[in-house]
Amino acid sequence: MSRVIVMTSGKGGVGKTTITANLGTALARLNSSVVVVDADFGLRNLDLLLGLEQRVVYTAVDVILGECRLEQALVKDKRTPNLALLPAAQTRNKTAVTPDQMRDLVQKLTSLYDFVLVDCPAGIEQGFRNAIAGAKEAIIVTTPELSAVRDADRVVGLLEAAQIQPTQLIVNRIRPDMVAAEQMMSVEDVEEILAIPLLGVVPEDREVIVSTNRGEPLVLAANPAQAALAIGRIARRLKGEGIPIPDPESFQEGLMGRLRKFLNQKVL
Amino acid sequence: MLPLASPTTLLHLHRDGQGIHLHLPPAEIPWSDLWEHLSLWLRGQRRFWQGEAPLILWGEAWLLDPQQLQALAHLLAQHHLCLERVHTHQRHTAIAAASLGYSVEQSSPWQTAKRVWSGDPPLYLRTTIRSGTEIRHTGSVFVLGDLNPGGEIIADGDIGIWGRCRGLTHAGASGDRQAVILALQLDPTQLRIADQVARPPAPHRADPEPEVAYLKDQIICIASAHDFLRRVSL
Repeated sequence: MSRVIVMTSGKGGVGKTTITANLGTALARLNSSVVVVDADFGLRNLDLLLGLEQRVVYTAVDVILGECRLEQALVKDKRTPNLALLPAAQTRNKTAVTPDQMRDLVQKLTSLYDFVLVDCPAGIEQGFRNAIAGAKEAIIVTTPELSAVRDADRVVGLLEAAQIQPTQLIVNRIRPDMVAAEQMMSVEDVEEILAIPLLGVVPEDREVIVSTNRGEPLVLAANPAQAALAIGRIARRLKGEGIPIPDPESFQEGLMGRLRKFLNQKVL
Repeated sequence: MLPLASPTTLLHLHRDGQGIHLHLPPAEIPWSDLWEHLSLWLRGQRRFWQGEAPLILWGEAWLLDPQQLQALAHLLAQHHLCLERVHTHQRHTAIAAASLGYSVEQSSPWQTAKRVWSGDPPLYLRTTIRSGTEIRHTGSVFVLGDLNPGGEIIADGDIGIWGRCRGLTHAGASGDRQAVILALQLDPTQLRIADQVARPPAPHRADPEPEVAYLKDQIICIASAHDFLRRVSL
């Protein structure tokens, strides 16, 4: 049984595409066959993050319009043998396809791959409706900010209405030091509002920007950053492994962080 | 004057000897919006029927095609409601319903003004009311769950929330100044009772307790639910 998961957030810029690219790569490295589908027609990004931009020949829209076969549009990632990308069209916009066409397309992919990850565009309009059309489950990506959480809440409601189950949560770009100083919402605050199961927490990490610019997923690095490790754990949880979600405090590396934690435990 | 929100959620469900009646909102909103509201609203409904219950749809002025009717019937079936009869003002909808084998009653709009609004039963919802969801009801509303920021409840009667109230609530929306708002944790974006509006004072108390908002001398007051109920009931 292959799993079709839509990655969505409502708000833009919370890291949907970054998480999709890395989660797809991480799942593929765990010996699952994975296709990541860029559903952001007109504003494609996923190919850039995976470093596959130059290999895109056909796009999802070409497949839908019958201008090429599905296999021709799929871009296989040479660094990660189990991973393929179905790119979005850059030249069309979100009304180029309908939810029914998208559902058919995703249906075809399910016979070829274990995981179909659909990277949803920001917003809740036509593009969102296309992206969720074929999905069976959903992952909400949000950052610990009021506006992102508010939008995520709206999206959870829309997914409920569309009967997409389960919907799980990834809290991205958390900064433990700021949470400790009560300058940022904590993971618990976010969970309390959204009331959906937590799949993972990804810390803020400067390596993310470096890897984006390089077009090389974080999780491929020889010396993986904290964010990459977190996404690796999320991938294993998605496959059903019972790996606990570490306390964001533990992301703070270095002697000082550990010392502070130790002192906190002793004092409180 | 209060800026009243648009009448998107005027869905109404009630039972009589014939079966269960579902009234679609009279206002013409897009089908996709109606669908979204209906799916969420049905999920939150507490079932007061047993087994498969026959359902009579009051489609008002809605123009429904066979596909939409089929989708509706499918959605209702998931909640153990079996679509049997369709009332409509629209010839188009009547034909669609007849072609699918439902019994049909077509009437002109001025004949079906008889709606069972008087003394509406409270609306009971067991769900989280999320951002972007608006619940409107002509009676009182009781929610088992949270009202999240960005969500709204507008009721002609009282509003009770067995959970956290962090959205917008409007009790006594058609002018009932006796209406109250009760929540286990009252931390709303805005409170409205009848024609009065209030912003709650400093939120985030360390130890929240159930509270009631009520109207006294044109001012919305908040009191501990224990004290308030003792005063009212005795």
